Amino acid sequence: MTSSACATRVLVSRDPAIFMLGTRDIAAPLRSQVQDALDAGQTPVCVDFEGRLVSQSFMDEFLGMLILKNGPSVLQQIVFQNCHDDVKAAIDLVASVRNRNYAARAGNR
Amino acid sequence: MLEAVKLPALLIDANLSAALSIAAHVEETSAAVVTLDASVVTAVQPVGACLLACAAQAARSNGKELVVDQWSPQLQRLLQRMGCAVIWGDQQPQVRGGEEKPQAPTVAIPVTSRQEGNAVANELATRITAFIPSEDRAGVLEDERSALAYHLVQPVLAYVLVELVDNVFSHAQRSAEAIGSWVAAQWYPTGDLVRVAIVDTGCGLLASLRGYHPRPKNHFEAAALAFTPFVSSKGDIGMYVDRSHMGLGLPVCRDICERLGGRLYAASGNAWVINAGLDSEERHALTVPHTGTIVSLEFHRRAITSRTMQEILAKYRGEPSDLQPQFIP
Repeated sequence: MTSSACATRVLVSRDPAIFMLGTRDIAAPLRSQVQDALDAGQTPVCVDFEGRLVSQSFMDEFLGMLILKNGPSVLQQIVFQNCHDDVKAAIDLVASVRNRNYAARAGNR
Repeated sequence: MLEAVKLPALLIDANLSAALSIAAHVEETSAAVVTLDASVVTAVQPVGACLLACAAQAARSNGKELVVDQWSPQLQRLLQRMGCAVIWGDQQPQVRGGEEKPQAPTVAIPVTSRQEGNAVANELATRITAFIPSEDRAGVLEDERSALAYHLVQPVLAYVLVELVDNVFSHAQRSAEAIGSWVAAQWYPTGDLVRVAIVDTGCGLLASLRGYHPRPKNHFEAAALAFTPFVSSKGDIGMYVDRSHMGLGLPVCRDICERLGGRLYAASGNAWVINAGLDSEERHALTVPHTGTIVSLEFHRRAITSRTMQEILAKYRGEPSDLQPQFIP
């Protein structure tokens, strides 16, 4: 897949002084952008990290909450672009933990 | 009424009780003016700088004046940058031999709101990295397009800073009262240690974990819980995980220090714990408790590799699920 196939594109940051995204207050509005696109059926959503780095807290607030709300299938509607290997590691971590949390919650209902 | 207090020679991690006693004295004294005699201060680590700032805020909050006397210009610059409400006394220290022993480069910044936290962490990491000579910057972290490149210490330093700052505003809040927080970082030219400290005047670990079940009974139990993976003060209540945090912020910071040959100190209430949760854990009771939380850490920057963060995060990943994230260049 290429970014041209994405119906929606989300840039994680426009501030050149910021190379590390770490706090949850920055992740929440990005998550809202993605959720709005999901709700409007404008998928896949391409999230462009432009080589920036992230903390696991940021990624949990961004991706983890999307998984808890929409289920693991949301990963089929989001494409992560320009991700450093450290960012991929954070995404893999959050996706695996929150997929398990979602399944555990579904199993308890 | 005037009162003078001699600052300890070492305002460092290992001498935390001495630094805390200064802050407590400033808060408790009835004197309208408290003078801090800095004449014997020889080393100020990030935690010491943050605690002095904390003491200065406490003095201001209680309508007192805090005067720093016999100060070094380096100490003055450090505290001024932190917005310390102090008055600089007239007496500067008598420097022996005309040469002042240089303090390790230190950058310290107050953080007054969640919104500025990310920018402060990025700024601190960038400024500390700038002190390191270019020929001595071990390795570079690049992305696939080489569009952004960082010297290896910069991402790791920024990582711990953003996690610690985010923790303050996620967990330390008590009612509507504003929290004071200060964050500082320091690099040692003669070695390869980088030090970081964050001090807040929030509710402390025990209060922040009051909703956790089973509830911790004392500050030591709270510190142990805070460093237990997948435990969070915003953890799930029963089966509802919608607003939970994963509870990995402090464990990952600790793991970074362990991996890079360093240590992590955490203090809250009367508990002072070093390397919480590791085999090398040490517990000490503070004679002067701290209401909020103090986290300070150190690591060896030359131990960092391009895979350091990936390997640490992978430790908590567990088994991959059927649905995997999709990546494109």
